[in-house]
Amino acid sequence: MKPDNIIFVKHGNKYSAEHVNRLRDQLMEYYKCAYVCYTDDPIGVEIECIPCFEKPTLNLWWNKLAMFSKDFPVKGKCLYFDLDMDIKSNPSDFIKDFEGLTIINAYWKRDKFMRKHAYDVRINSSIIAWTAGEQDYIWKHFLTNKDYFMRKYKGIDRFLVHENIHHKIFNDGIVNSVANPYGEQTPIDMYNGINYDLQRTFVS
Amino acid sequence: MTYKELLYRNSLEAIRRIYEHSKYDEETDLYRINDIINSLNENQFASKEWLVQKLTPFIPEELENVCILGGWYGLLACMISQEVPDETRIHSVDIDPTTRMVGQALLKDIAYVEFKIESLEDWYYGRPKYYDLIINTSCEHMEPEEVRLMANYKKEEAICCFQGNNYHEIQSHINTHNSLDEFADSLGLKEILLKESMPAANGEYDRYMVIGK
Repeated sequence: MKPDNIIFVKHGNKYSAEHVNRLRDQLMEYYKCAYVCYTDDPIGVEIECIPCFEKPTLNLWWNKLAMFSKDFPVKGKCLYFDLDMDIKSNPSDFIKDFEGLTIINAYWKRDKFMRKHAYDVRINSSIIAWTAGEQDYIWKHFLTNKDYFMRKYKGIDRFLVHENIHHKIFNDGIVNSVANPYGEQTPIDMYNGINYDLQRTFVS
Repeated sequence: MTYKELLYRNSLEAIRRIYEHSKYDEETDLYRINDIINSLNENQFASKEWLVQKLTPFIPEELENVCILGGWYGLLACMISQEVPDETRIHSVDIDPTTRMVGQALLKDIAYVEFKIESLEDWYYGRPKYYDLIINTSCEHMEPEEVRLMANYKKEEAICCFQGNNYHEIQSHINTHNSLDEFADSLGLKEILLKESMPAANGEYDRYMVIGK
């Protein structure tokens, strides 16, 4: 099963239009579908841009949660990628399920000690699969107390887990965390926000 | 005991109760402990004491109703209550439903404050002419146009006191300003009675305050 939409989120100045265009180029090899970018700055972005909602204003990664709103203007099966991903080969064998919410297993945290009140998590939302509109309750829940959630959780991964949002995980082997190597060939390298300017594999 | 000593005593008791509750309830929100401590930290006291000191000369003699928007656990409401007649109604408004329970525990034996749980916009626009004094120390968390509307949609003689800052680095800050004048201009008040800035105790940002009509 293939996605109908591949979605990127670019907010602030950590990532540029180049990151969006590069990732689109890499994914185009494997996915012929709609590509959209949810952004506060469409300049230079070569795919369709969806402007960030006027309200509420959110900063950086918190904007990812807007993708789950029923007002987010896409339909069908959705696949999201963080912009610091490097596509090395076809990831389709790992991404087949668009029912519910599917995210990455953070294998590199498997043995990490974490008390519950650390609010750390063993998942990672750098890749997300879902069906448009069906996860609207996540967005609604966030809006009930967003300032408290943004103080309590360092990012949306923690929000999803500790607010008991039901989710599934992709099979291991879909990604290799560059900082914590998986040990086997994976179709995607992820940089977890670090060294995102490193030389990447470009599709010719 | 001073109000401050009572506040610290009550906050320690509130924290102890959360800890006790957590022993047998996995869902107890332990982050509240951190949040309560942060709500009473040096920066919070400094900015609120500054506000009260500067605002007091402008408090109307016929003060009946005070609205504190984004009142959190009621620190500012507590301080304001020390400066106004006992019969003054003080509403501390916050969307976070837990602020009422925690706020009431913190203010026990100090002040009577009504904690209203609603979005600031919904609460305020439901009764804009009710208040003689409107205080908003959370402008950085609110949409700029909402802040401007609140500052102007009120009784003509009502005083408003709004605080903002230039702390751009905080993720939840969506309405920061680069200078005191920029912040004052953003409010669009008819008359500005006072505008001042104060560096935060940690030196990381400046807090701005504007009092006006």
